[in-house]
Order: sequence, then structure tokens, then C-alpha cells
Amino acid sequence: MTATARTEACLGQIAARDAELGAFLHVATDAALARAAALDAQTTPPGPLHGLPIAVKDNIAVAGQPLTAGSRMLAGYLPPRDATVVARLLAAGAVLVGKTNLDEFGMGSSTERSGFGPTRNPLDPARVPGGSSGGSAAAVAADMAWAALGTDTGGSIRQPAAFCGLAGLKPTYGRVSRSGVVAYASSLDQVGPLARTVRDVARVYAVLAGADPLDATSADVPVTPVQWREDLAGLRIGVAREHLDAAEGLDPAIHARITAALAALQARGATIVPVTLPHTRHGIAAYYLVATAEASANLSRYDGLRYGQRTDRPPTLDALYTRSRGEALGDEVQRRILLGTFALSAGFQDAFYLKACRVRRKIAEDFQTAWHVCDLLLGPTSPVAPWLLGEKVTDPLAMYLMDAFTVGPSLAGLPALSVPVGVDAQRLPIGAQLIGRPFDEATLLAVGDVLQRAFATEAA
Amino acid sequence: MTSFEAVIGLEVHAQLLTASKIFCSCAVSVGGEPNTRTCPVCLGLPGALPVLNAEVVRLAVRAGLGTGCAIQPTSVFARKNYFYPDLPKGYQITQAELPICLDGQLTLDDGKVARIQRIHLEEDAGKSIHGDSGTRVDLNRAGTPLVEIVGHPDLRSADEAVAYLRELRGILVTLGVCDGNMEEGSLRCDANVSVRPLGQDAFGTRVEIKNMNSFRSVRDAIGYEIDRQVGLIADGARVVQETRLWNMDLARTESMRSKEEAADYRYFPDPDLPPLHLDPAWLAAQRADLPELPAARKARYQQALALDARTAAWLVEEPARAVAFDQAVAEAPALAAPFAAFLMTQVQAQLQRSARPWPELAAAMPALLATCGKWRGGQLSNKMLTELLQAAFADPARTLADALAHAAAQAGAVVSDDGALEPVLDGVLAQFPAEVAKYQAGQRQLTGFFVGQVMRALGGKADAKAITALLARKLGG
Amino acid sequence: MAVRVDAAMVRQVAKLAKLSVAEADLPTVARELERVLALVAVLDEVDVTGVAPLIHPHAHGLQPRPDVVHAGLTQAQALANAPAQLDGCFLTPRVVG
Repeated sequence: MTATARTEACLGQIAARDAELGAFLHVATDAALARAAALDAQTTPPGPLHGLPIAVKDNIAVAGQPLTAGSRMLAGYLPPRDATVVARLLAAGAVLVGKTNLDEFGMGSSTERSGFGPTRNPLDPARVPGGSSGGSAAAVAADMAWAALGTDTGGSIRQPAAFCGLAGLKPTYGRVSRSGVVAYASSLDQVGPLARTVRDVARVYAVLAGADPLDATSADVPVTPVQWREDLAGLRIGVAREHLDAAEGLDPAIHARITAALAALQARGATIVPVTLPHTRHGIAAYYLVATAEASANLSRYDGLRYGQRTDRPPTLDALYTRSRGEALGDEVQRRILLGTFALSAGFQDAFYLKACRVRRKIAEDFQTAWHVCDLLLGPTSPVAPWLLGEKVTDPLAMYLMDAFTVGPSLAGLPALSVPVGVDAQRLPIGAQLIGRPFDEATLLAVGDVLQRAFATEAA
Repeated sequence: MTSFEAVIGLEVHAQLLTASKIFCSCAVSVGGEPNTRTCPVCLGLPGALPVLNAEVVRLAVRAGLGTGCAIQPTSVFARKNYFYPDLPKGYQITQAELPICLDGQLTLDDGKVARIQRIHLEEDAGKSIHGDSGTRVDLNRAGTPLVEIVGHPDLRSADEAVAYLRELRGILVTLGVCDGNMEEGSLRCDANVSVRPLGQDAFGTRVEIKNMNSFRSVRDAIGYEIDRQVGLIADGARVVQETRLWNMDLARTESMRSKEEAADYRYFPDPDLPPLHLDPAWLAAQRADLPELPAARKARYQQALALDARTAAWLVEEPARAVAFDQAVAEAPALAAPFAAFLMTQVQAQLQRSARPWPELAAAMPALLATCGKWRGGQLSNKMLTELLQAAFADPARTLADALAHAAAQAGAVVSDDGALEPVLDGVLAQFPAEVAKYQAGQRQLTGFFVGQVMRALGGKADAKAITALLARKLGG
Repeated sequence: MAVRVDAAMVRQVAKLAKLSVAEADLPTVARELERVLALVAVLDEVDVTGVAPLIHPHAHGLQPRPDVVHAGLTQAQALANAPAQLDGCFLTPRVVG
């Protein structure tokens, strides 16, 4: 199949479905077709992603295409350079079809908090696609792209992948460059792929992974190729009681599918090991303090001065700042900036920000303890199935709790992969989260592939 | 009446001599069209990340080693949060809790030790230009690497503060850390000044003074501020904690619009920059790589070269001057003391009246030494020396070295009479009998050879025509 | 740590963050913030005595780059997204003081 044919197929799907779904903020029709034509005419050896149409979350810079991060603050902003991950996709022969919708600056779990309207779940348009990489997930689930880049700060790749029946990988912190990626929380943010299969996720991941001289937090750790497996003899899979049997508010249907997933892996030779992650219940609190504290500084650059929206005729500099930010930043973003500013402020920093960072270490240590007895962990990605649009948007706190299982690996900087493991009674997809040791994406992907194929067989 | 003592601590910002900025690869330089040396990082564009310049680390470590600091094996960059138009990210990357150097000291000329609390790395902000149509922002300077050297409040007078600053500047310039130019702002000094009754331990209320861009400003501003504070207390008033700016034209400090409340900078570790770990072996190599520092040089001048303390201090104050001096007198150590005095008096007098910069003077050091030698050897009278120096310094068309040579030539000190030339020529002829024979056999092109040999013997100060004529007479033309 | 948040605290935090919270909204925002702080009070259960804050997820230190100059953006590129500019500079309302 030619690059042009693949690209035209995706653009056709976008034309047919995106008015309803709202997955894209920018469709690069002309650029994508020109690129595909060039790739089809190419005589040099094809790259690993030759001719594959990929969508890019709109908090990742593509030179010359608008970059909004889902915020009205950045409406009209054109970045001068490609993000490192985009440069790597292009070097690998990918075709970039457009920029996908997200919760503003990545702050949300449903893509209802985009400054440009929500994205809907292609599997049930009355429901949310998850977030914040909801546009990327919807784009792949509706065949508007072969794969998509998302970013994950506390679950923003894994949860939308689960909600849209896809595989989605959040790599180890430092595995993939953040250069050119609009920062939400710098010590948590990672870029990763969403695709229909774990194998496709692995194919994109192999292109993205590796140290980048433009990102001081990117790690110079060799990227090992995935050894695909058929049986899992000798593999120890940990199950944290806090993520399953003792999990609060876990949908019974999800509990059942995860149990089935464990049985499937056991049937292929894996040993199931019960473990405990005692600080799971503190994850959300630690996560929100760390993430909002960092965000409060990261979002200070949106001051209406060098780029972005500026309020009309501000009389003073202070009015320029407060009105531009007040008018152009959404409620949830302002709420998180206020929380983060508070958490860092004099007199409260020790009790909130630093306390959260100390608890963060305890959470990381929980995982380190688990690695003594198991090679990876398995549990649900989300405690609930995709909810209806508008169902939770009025209660930010309830929405925060949806991240209960995903924030732990984020705080610990661990790789985590969501794998589709079937559907519930309403045909809504369910995802299993595999959590791996630092920089051991290879094991995660190999096991995720076995798991996905086990359920494909079962479904067939 | 109560006597008061001043308590002064300096905060010195030194711009590091690197090619590129601290966190990006943009060039560091002064002037030029606005916003022509920027990139996504120093503009604070979305997604841009800081990457530390290795040379910045090396220079900060040199500054720390030169001031006796403990170099920290691990230091951490932090964000200092505040909004200002010339601060692109809304925070400045600096070092807060864990700076790169701690606990150093400077020894002043009178033997007094002034402690240094810390040296930390940070990025400079851009430049705001306030005008009627608004404030214009140029970000060329944003991201210029700085070290801030924070002194303890150990200084007790304006003169001590100046002595501290001179000593510090000498060290930084000697180490190649900073060019030390206060007028251009590559070395900036803020002073915390308070006064207290003599004998009292507790500090008085401190005032921060900014905007001093010369040693003279530092002396005058601190002197003024001490007097102002003592005057306030004498009048029964209170010193208010505030920041004041030195107004050089009016020779006074003036209150900045006081902030409504204390700033809350919300420092926290920058998640974009992992901790900086220094390798012990690398650090040892840096320690071994230090050149002679001003204090050691000053001691050597006094002990090995017999310079008096004042002259030695004057020489080392400008490290480029001391280096050039060292090179010039290496071959003539006996001339070192008179030459140093000659530089500090006669040459300095000329320098103050001319626009010659020090680097040029450094290049002319051998010529100055030669002039000094002639003067000392009686070949130049005092009057001739002064005229020669005046002429050379006032000669805008030539470099100082050339101008000195030209002035010396103009001074007429050439050897042209046969009485002086003949013995030299005789010596040359005796040395080269084969050439003499060839010349006499008709090879007249050897004239140039003989003239050259005589010139060389007379240090280039002979009249070529007179030599040619004498040669012709002696060997027959 | 249970914290009571009042309007003055919200005003101060908003001021630091350069956000405008209308006077009328201060009590609502204060209540919201208080609710979030009540949620994070769960951290009080954890004994973190002697535990160093975890800031950077992995142990590797900085790898500084060589001091080499690369071409950046042109003036036109630097100003391309500016809401207002004058004489090659970004322009803001006059800063007082």
C-alpha cells in the first residue's frame, strides 16, 4: 500500500467523522499529501515508519503547524522548530496528518477541558475518549491515523488508550525527549505512542526512544530491542492488592477482566505474585501537588508578551498579565495554577510541595520493593469505563480520583503500558496496565503483546 | 555622642567569559540589533528546555577555587518565580539551597579577612528599555551566564568595600572568569549597608544599594549611605529596610518605589535540570590548573623583585598589566623595580591623559622597558623621556609600541657620526673577511649586508647613509 | 495539614500567579482550594521523617554540553508570534517605577 493511499484513507476518515468526534485541532491535508507523494517517489531505503500516517497531540511542536496545547492562550501560535520526537518520526518516514485535541495543557482526564471543544469517543460518541490525549486516542480508534503521539503526565496516554480500546505506552521518565513538548509537569511528562496493537506501539516507540542533547532529563540508557515471546515461562507478574482486590471504587466488570488477563498470562507460563503498594492511596494527593507546583512555574511563560493572547489595550503591565492570563486560560488550568502556587508559597512549601515530594519517594520505594519479587506488575488502567460527556466535568475532585492507578508509575518514573483486554457488558473497552522496571520497556512490550494476542484469540 | 560603625556586605554578579549562553547555544555578546541572539530556549518558547553549558561550570569552579571556597560535589538548579517583561519564562534559573561553591574568603591588603558566603550560577535577564510608547524588551542578554558571589557582612567602611571588590575583581580577571568591566556591566555590585553603635553586636536595619557601576560609585554610594543612616539615627529617625539606587549625577542614594509587600519567589528545584555532580578527578585537575593569583603575585613582587607594597598592589590590580609586566621583565629582573615605578608614575601619568586602553599598553611593554632602560642608562634625559612619552601617547596613527619607536627615532638619538660608527664597522669587517674580499672584487651588492650588520650591532639606531658612505671610503668605491 | 483558606489568601496567591480572581469569586475559589487541600491532607498519614524529597525520578546527573555557538532565530523569527513589537523589540505597556 502506498503512502499516498494510506494518507488518503486517513484524511477520508477525518473528513467523514471528525466533525462529530472533534479529534483534530489542525488537519495538515496538503502537507500530509505532499509528504506522502514524496515518500512514494523516494528511492532511498524506506525508514521504519515509511508512509505510515501518524497524528500528533497538539502539545508537541511541528514546525509551521499551529501549536495550541488545547489552550486559547496559544491560538494562532506557530512554533519555529520541530519537537525532537517529531523530527524522529519524520526521519523514520512517517506522514504527519495533523494535531490532535487535548485537555488544555494536558490538565484533564476526559478531553472535555480543551479550549476548543471536547473530543468524543469513536466507540460511543456520547462518551468521553479519556484524556488528556483523547484526540490522539480517538484519531487512532476512528482510523484517522495509523498511530498517534500522546503525552502522559499522570495517565494521559494510558487511560485514553484504555477508553478507546487501544494500546498506549508511557515510557520510562527520561526515555523519550521532551524537547518541543509543551510542559505541564516537567518531572512527570513523557511522550509515547498510541496504536491498535502493542506491536505497532513498539514500532513507534523504537523510533522515539533514546537520549537527546536538547533535553537534560533524557537518559543515556541503551534501548534494547523487544524479544517477542510466545510463552512466559519464568516470568513473575506482580498483582498489587491496592490495584485490584483492595482497590476502592473499582468497577466489578473491570476487576473481572483483569482477573481473566492474569489467568491468560498464567496459562502461558507466567507466575502470579501478590505484592503490595501501600502508598497507592497517597498517589493522587502527591501527584496533584507535584504536578500543579511544577505547572504553576511552567505556565508563567504564558504572559501575553512574546507570544500568545494579549488582552485588549491593557493600561498597565499588571493588567496585561492578569487579564491576558485570566481571559485566555481555562478554569481548570487556573485552578491548578492557584493550587500549585499555593503549594510552593512561603509558609506552605514544606507542608505541601516538599511533603508531596517525600511521599513521592515512598511511592517509588514501594515499586522498588515489588521488583524484588516480580518482573512487572499488572492491574487495571482505569477504575471505571468511559463516562458520558458532562457526567463528571462539574466535579474536578471526582475526576482527579480516576487517575488512581496511573499516577503511581508516573511519580516513580516507571514505564507503563495499557493493553486492551476486552469489553464490558455495554461493549465499552477495558484496559490492563502493565508497569515495568525503569528502562525495561522491552519486557513490558513483549508481555503486552502476549496479553493482547491472548484476548484476540479469545475474541475470535 | 555615640560613634557608629558601618556593616557592609557585597553581592557581586560577574558575567562569565563563555562563547555561548548558560542554557542554550546562542552567542554571548554586548550590543547589536535587539533580539538577534535568541532561540526558543532564551525566548522561553513553549517546549524549550535548558541544557547547561560545561564552560560555565568550569569558570564557576575556578572562581570558587580562587576565593578559597569549598566546591560542592553536588549542586542543584532552582527556579526563582516572578513576573517581569525581561524574564521570558516567568522564572529565573539560579541556584538556591545547594550552590556550586560555599565558604570562601578574601584577604585584603591590610591583612583583613572578609568571608564569602557562597557563589552560585544563574542566568541573566534580558533588557527593558522604558520609553513613552511603552517598555521595549530585548532578549539578547537573556541567558547570559553569571556567577553571584555573596559576601558576608564583614566589611566596615566604604574603602574596605572597594578593597574587597578590587581583590575579587583581580582574582576573577586573572582566572579568566570575567572581563571585570564594571562600566559595561560585566561586573556588577550591590551593597547591603547598615550602621550600629560601636560595640553593639546586633546588626542595624539594612539597606540594599544598587546601580553602582564603577569603583568610585561603590566608594561614594556606600560612604553617602553610611552618613545618611548615621544622620537619621542621630536625628532620632529610623532606617527603613529598602532598596536604594545610587544617583551618580546627584551623588546620593534614592529610594526605589518600595514594594507593597515582601516578594515570595517560591524557589524550588528545577525539574528540567538534574543535579550537577562534579567528578573529583576533574575537580583536582581544575585545582592544579590555577595560575598565580593576585595575592601570591603581589607577595612575589615584593620578595623576589623588591617592589614596594604600593607599586606591587598597583601592578596586580589589573591582571593584564601584571602579566605583561612579568613577560617584559623576565629577561631583565634587575630592571623590574625601577620599571614598575616607571610604569606607575611616568607611564600612568600619560595614560590618564590619553585614550590608550590597557591591552595596547600591554603589547607595548617591551618598548616601554627599552625606553625605561635608556632613561635609566642615561641615554635619555628626564626631559627627553617626558617628551618622548607625550609624543608617543598622543600619536593616534600608530600603536603605542610603534609610536614609542617612532618618537625615539624622532628624538634624534641615532648614531650618525663617523667617530661612533667607524669602530663598529671595523669590527664587522674584521668578522667577515671573505665578504670583504668579494666586495673588493666588485660585488657591490654586499653593501646592504655590511650596513645590516652595523645596524644590528647598533640596535637599529644608526644612519644607513652614513654607514654606506663610510664603507665606500674604507674599502674603496 | 488542614488549612483554612480565606479570601485574603486567595487574593495573595492569585497575585503571585498573575491571575485575576474577581472579588465576588474569592470565597468560592477559597472553598474549592480548601476542598483540594482537604483531599491532599491524606499525606499526613505518611511518616516521611528522614525521607529526602524525590524531585528527579532517576539518579543520573547533568551532562553539560560543550560551549559551542549555534545559530538561533532571526529577529523576524523571534518576533513572529509577538502580540506587539517596536524597533525590533517586544513591546509592553510602560513599566512604572
